[in-house]
Amino acid sequence: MIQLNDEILNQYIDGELNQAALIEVKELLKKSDDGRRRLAALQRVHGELGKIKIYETGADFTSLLMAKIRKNAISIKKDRYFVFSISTIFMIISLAIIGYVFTIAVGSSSSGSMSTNSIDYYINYFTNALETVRNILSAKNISIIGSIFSFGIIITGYIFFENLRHAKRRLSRLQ
Amino acid sequence: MKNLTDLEIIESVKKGNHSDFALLVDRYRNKAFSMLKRMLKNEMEAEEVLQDCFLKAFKSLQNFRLEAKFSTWFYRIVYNTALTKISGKKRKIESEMSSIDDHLNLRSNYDYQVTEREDFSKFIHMLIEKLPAKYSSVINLFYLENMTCEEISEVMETSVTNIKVMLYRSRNALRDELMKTNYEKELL
Repeated sequence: MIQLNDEILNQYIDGELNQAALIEVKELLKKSDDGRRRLAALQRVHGELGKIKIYETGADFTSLLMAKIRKNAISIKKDRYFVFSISTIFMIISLAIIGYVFTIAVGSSSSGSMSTNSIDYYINYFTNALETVRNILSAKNISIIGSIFSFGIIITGYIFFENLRHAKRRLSRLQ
Repeated sequence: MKNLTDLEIIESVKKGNHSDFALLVDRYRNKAFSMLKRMLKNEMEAEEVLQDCFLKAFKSLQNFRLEAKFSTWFYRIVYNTALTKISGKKRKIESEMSSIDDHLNLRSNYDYQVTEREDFSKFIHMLIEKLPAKYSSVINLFYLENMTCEEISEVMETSVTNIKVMLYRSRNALRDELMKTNYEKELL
């Protein structure tokens, strides 16, 4: 037995009742003034909700948003370029240090006692390389390496702030 | 170009035609803005949040599965971003977000005497603006976007039953206000 409650009336409006239920609800509505009044009010509300207002954004919303998207894409590209540049600088510095160590190690190996045994040669070579690295990292040279890295960091900072300045200028031009 | 489906536009954007995203923006901006304005009750904030939503959607577009429906996916971003904004502002969100047993007190601050049919229409639309965030989201998605309760449940990540309860309660609350007015004489 169906009762004319709010849920049934809402389902009636949404067309969710099956055929048997629909017939039963229609019969009940015929007998109930209150039911008809509540249904009519609900249908009026449903009708008004169907005419719910669509608010509009500012006319330039899309163009401003697309400008922001383009700016973001540029800044992502710049960030990638920045990371690539810095990685390259550090790579070059590292290669220079390795090259320097290698040169000194080879020089020491060839100037030392001539060994005919290749294993001895490589052991000698790596010992010299380690010795060179130890010399480079000695208290005397560590300040030079520190200076090189500090210089790298200063350059990195400069490029970073220069990027920021450019981004701000572009943003102010867009606004 | 304007006849392209959402998925065709997304495919084009994914291929690198970023400017095609403007088509999606134009397609959804006003309806999403209406939903946000009713949720946040503030026009400036609604536009700000909408811009964030489109930026989020653009950034996440590469992760969008083409078998899904863009509108459902996008409105989930809109809905969640709005809720985050509301919770950030420390509004009384518990009463709006946590339970479907919310009390819809739509007529708390004023007394409105409805005499004309047109007045009633204005009155109802004024009450719609007063609906709590969750209820207004359901109403917007159901009536503006013509979404089914199943689709709305995907957007709001809740059960279909909860969505129906919220939809029915919103209508009933508005209906109850209508029944209190002189308009009920016109109904029969």
